[in-house]
Amino acid sequence: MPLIKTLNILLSMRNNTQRIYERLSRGEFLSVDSSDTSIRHLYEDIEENLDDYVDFFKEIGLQLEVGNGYFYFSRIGEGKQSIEQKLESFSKWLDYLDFLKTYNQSFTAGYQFRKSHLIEQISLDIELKEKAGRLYKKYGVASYLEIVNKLLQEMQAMGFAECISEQDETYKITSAFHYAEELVKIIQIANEDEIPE
Amino acid sequence: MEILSHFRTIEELTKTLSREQGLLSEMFEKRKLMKFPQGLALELVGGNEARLKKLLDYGVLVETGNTVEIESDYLNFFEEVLNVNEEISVLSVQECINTLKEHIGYFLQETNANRRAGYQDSVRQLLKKTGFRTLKNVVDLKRNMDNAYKQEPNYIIKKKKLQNLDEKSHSIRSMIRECEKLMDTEHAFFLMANDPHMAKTCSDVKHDFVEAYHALMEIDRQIIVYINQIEQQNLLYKKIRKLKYLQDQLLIKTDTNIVQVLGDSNPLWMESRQYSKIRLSLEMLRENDQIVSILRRIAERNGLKKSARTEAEPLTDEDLQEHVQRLKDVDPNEVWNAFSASSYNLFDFILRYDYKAKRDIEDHAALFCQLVILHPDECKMTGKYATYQDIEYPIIYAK
Repeated sequence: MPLIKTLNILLSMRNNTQRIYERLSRGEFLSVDSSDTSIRHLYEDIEENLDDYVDFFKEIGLQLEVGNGYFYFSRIGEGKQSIEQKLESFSKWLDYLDFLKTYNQSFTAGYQFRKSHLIEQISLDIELKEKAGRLYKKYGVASYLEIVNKLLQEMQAMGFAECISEQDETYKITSAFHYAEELVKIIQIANEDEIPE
Repeated sequence: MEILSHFRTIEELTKTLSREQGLLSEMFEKRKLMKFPQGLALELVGGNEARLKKLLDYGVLVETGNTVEIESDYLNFFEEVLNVNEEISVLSVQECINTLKEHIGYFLQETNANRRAGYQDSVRQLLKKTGFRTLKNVVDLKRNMDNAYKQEPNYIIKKKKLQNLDEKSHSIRSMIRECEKLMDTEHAFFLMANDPHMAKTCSDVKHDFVEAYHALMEIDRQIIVYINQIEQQNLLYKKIRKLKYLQDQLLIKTDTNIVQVLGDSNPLWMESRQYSKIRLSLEMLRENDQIVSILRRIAERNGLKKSARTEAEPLTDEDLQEHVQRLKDVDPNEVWNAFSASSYNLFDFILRYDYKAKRDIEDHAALFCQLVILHPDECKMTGKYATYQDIEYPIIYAK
């Protein structure tokens, strides 16, 4: 049995361990529909050698999580952050989701938009304007351009959004965005009907 | 209201249309884009106002303020004939079926053979038209559905549009059923069945219906998927808003199971960005000049000048040359050893000894005393004294 295991390890095609680790360990997501071929390559490699990668990362305490068209890391066992920190991270993203879905209800994986359009909508839509103003209030970010820039930057760092045209600044939402949506879906609200929308 | 003239013959109509084909085709192409300004229309008929007026008089064009448009009868005609009408009109199919029924009634009651044949022909034409219209409606339905889902930006309208299309698909379906029933059960069709034209039309139409039916099934499925997707998104949107509301009210921890959900998982994205704890390799720092220059650059960028202050200038070539500085010290042991091997008296020996540095008389005197003190037992005192310059010294030999 150990011999077979050794053989398997020798034969495994885990070629991109470092590149995958570097991306995922930053809290990034890898999406199946990324427009970046190198990311798609990594995704496909994980998909083909899933068990190998899962086993390997397990040894260093990381769980390679498989989602609907995306991969990400979570920590096995005790987490490094307190529940308060997690709540803070979550509430930040809840604000983003709320803002983005107000911008367009069909804002989900595969959605494409121009940065200029988003900024334009903020100045047109009073609700959006109010939400945008609150997003980075504590950092003192003032102009809508700055707000949108910061938001897009964060979404890109997570692998949720990608710039597909530098020229007219068109962005695409990747399938990793499903993660944020699924997270919302699994949260149960007590007495849901009593809460105003 | 002035009474419009009208075309009396097909020839007159087609000739007029053909003469103004430039204008009409231009207007038809732009029918959805813009109102057609009268000036441009005049230009396209060669600046001849009479020609434009004729079109208006004959009701091909209508004037609305400063613009002209193709009269709806003609527009419909063009769209129908060119097969570009995108509207789905269930009504027109229904109309066909109603007329069909009427004509079948006439056919059954007519006794004159000639007229009977006439009714049979019109039944056949109507049937053909019904099949064609149905199929076309289905194709349009599919296109409209895709457009509605993909291009309609307003969420509520999008959903409404899809629901309307769904209804249309149902009415087309019931129309098909009605028509099929008519063809299968109506007594008249048995009577007409011997006519080969009629038989062929019937089979063609049935074929059209089957095709339409299959397409409708697919469309139904797609509409359901689309509506579901919209519904899903809508639910999600509502949920996000509710959660946001709870968060703003600071109730999110108590009114949801979020603490449990977040407690169960430790995704890395929630962790604050951690420093890379990897230390620099000392080995590398020692051996690699590049790293030193990188470190210096980083230090400069961060405004750190400390390292620059404590660091010495690099060594010059002069610094690297050998510098020898001789000390005046002599090794008393060495001198004693040499003395004990010689036959000189101590003072004379000290004076003659080959020192590497220049020494004056006081140094000699000091060395003399030092040696005597260090080796008192090995000295042979003669008890005689001699004088060198102003120093009187005892003459001592080695034992």
